[in-house]
Amino acid sequence: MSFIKQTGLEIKNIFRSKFLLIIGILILVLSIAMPIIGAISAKSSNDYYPGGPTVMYEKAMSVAYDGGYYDNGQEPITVDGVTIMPDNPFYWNIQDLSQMENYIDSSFFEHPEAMDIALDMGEMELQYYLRVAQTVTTHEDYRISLLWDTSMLYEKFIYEKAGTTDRDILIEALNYRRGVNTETFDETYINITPQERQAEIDKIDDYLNRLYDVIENDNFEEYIAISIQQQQNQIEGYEEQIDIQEQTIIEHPDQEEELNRYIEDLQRQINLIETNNIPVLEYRLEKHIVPGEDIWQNRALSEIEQANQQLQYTTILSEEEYNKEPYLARQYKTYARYKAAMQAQIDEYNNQILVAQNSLDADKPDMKFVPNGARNQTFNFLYYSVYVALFAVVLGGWLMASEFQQGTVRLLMIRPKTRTKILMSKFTAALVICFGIYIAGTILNIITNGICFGFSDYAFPNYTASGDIGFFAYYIPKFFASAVTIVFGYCVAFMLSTAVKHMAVSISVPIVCFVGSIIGMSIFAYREAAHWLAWTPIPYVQISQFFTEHSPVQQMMRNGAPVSLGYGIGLLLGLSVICTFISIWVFRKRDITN
Amino acid sequence: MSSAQKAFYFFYLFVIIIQIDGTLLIYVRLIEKLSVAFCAGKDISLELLKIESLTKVMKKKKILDDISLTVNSGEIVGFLGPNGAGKTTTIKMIMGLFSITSGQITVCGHDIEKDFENAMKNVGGIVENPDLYKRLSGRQNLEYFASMYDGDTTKQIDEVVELVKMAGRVNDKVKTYSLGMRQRVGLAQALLHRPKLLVLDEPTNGLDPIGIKELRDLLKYLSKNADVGVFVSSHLLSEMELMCDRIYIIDNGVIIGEKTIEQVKESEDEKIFSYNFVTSDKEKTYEYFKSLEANCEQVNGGVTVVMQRDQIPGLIRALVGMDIDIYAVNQSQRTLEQDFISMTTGTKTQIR
Repeated sequence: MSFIKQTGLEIKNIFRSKFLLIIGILILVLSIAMPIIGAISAKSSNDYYPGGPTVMYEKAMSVAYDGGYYDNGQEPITVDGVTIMPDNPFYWNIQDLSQMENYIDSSFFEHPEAMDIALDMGEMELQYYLRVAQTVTTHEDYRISLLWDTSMLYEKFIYEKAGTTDRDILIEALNYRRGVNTETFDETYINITPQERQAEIDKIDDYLNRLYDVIENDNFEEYIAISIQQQQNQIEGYEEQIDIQEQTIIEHPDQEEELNRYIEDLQRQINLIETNNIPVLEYRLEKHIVPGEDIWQNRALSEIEQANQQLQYTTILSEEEYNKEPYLARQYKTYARYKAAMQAQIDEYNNQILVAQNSLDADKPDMKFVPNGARNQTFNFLYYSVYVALFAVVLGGWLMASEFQQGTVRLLMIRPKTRTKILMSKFTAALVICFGIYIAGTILNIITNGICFGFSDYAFPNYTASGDIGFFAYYIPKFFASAVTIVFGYCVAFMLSTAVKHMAVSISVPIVCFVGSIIGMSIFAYREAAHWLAWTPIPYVQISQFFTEHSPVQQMMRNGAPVSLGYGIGLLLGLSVICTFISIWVFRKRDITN
Repeated sequence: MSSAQKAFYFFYLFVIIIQIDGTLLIYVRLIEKLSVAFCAGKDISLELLKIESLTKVMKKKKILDDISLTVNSGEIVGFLGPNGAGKTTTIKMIMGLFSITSGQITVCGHDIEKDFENAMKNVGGIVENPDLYKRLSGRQNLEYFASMYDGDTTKQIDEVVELVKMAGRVNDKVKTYSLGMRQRVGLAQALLHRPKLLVLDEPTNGLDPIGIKELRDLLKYLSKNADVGVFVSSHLLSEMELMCDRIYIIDNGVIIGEKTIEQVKESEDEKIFSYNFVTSDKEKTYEYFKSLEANCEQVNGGVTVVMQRDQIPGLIRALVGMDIDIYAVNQSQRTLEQDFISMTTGTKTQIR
């Protein structure tokens, strides 16, 4: 009872120090300021693009080919009565093609007729772009991925002209526009019957009609059908490649190993399309999830796609194969450890897929698919424990050292309380303050996040491989696990404060060690064979790193280091208890000389 | 002077008398209250503090060597010694700040090593400077210390604050205090829980002459009226003489003398002092003293001679007989100091 009273008194006493009061308030204010800053920056940067990898790829390619789609003060252009704005994705293509007449020259060609044909080709492509540019006006439009490929236009053009135009002239014009495989040209286009030719033309027309249907009528079903067909065409292409490679192996057995690896790679691609790309497209159709839109479903699907892709390339080698790769032995030391690390990685990817799938099936977003949601913001704010830990270090370092430095320890120690009681009431008081700030700050943060990003987000559950779990049930254990950082920093600073009696030392040494551990982690976590690090406290100093993706700790895990959360928490708490006992022991034994 | 003016002056005088009277009354009342409070829980144990063959070794150096002393209730005991003699070390050991190498310290029957909490309930004190929490006010400091005792000692804060005359400034931050003011608050915290034993380490440091007088009166009052035992270390010898009943002299970690004030005063007759003679004929006086083979010298004011006290009347008679007029004979004010210097090695050697 008297201990509690004493502790309460110490708390009051600590906050009578203006210096600590101001730091404490600043740390508290941080928990309100961070979400507000986050909300403002999220509003000002609305260029977040939630597309999947395929969409991103197309976008990157379009930027690379077209020299960027940004409006660089370009004037809108009008071609055939259609006005195209500078931010239109086809602006540069249309501008280029509409001015083709100006820069083309007959001296480019051996046959003067070829120039006319090339101009015809340009006109054909221009008309195509003009048609689609009227509907697809932004880069974010989901259909844009279907539109960049114009090879079917040229195929149609060749089939139409092949019967009537000289072969060489046609090839020359084609070479000027886009290049052609002369070896198979005759076989494909010339040496066929007119009926066959007509059938090919009909096929392309049919495809073009479907494409225009997608563009002009926003036919999502047709879009998916075309996309699936494209994927299947790709599979066919890969299978042809495999046949060719197998033929080559028979002819050149000496290249077998190299070619087999190529075949393997192709098979992986096929497998990926079959198990990932096509099912995802079918799922999009089923749930009407339009790609490119800024909705959480797209983020979930893109997570599935990425994880599947990773899974294709994450295979566990047999022991025999493992022994052939010396770098693996360097990194993992033993085959068993390698196997465990790889299995853990595979489990992680499978887990990601399961989470995304469960979330999509339930039609409730998991936290990670709503980056600007209150849950995500709150969860990421677990790093607040580091700020509070810094405060705890300052407080712990100040607590006893200031008594010694001011000399007040003498007036304190002549009271009818044993040294252990006095020390422990101070210890507890400061620890209570640290936890008070941590909890109060987090609650303020949760509320502020709710105000800034919407409270409704908290109602959605989080998903795990085994099912869904309420957000707070998921969050609170991690909240307390992160607090171990605070306890550890505090106990170390308190021990130094008691033993060294010097404020500057007892505050700066833990902070320097903390920064050192972060630097050490950024150096060693990415190194092979830094497994010994896993037994030291260094990777665990910042426990909240276990819960953030792409942190050095998780990198260490991926490298096969035996890092574990339970061990880390146990180690830090154990060291904290040892530090506290040292503090008590030193303080009891000490002669108060100053 | 008009009658109105007269009336005003009379009224003014009246106000002043009332004010003086009121202040005195408050003071008297406080002392009464305090004495009642101190006497209420009086547990008469003659030996409040008992130190038996106490030894302290620090870093292989013997700081205290087998010292023994006692402080009885109602007694003010002085603790004299040159710098580095072991005064503060002894006091720190009494207050539990230093561990005991060997020997025993008992406060009100409680061994301070075995029963620290009960022993310290009966002790109040200041060790070295009164270092208070600078960021707190005087009152907050007292509240903080008061709360560490059983029972509600916070009510006594106002009493002790008025007793040490800090009521006007007690709500200011300690960092604005002078050394004397801190000494006063330090004294207040020592009296806070009405201890039976007061242990004060050079309490007059930084106090003004009035403050010293007040402190002396307070300690005397407490010891006589509330049976408080006071153990006070000081290097101000005149202070010791004025307030102590008994004096221990410590040097090099060893107690080299214990005297009561009566013993000091009784022995004064046999003591050798230095006397200054102011006469009409300086030369003649000097020559006469020289002929007696006394230790003498001519100074500005007259002739100085070192003599035993009982030889002085004969000296004066002789001078009068030689027809020399004597204007003054002054005895130098060196009583305890002389004792002290003759007994201790003090700063004659290096501080250990």
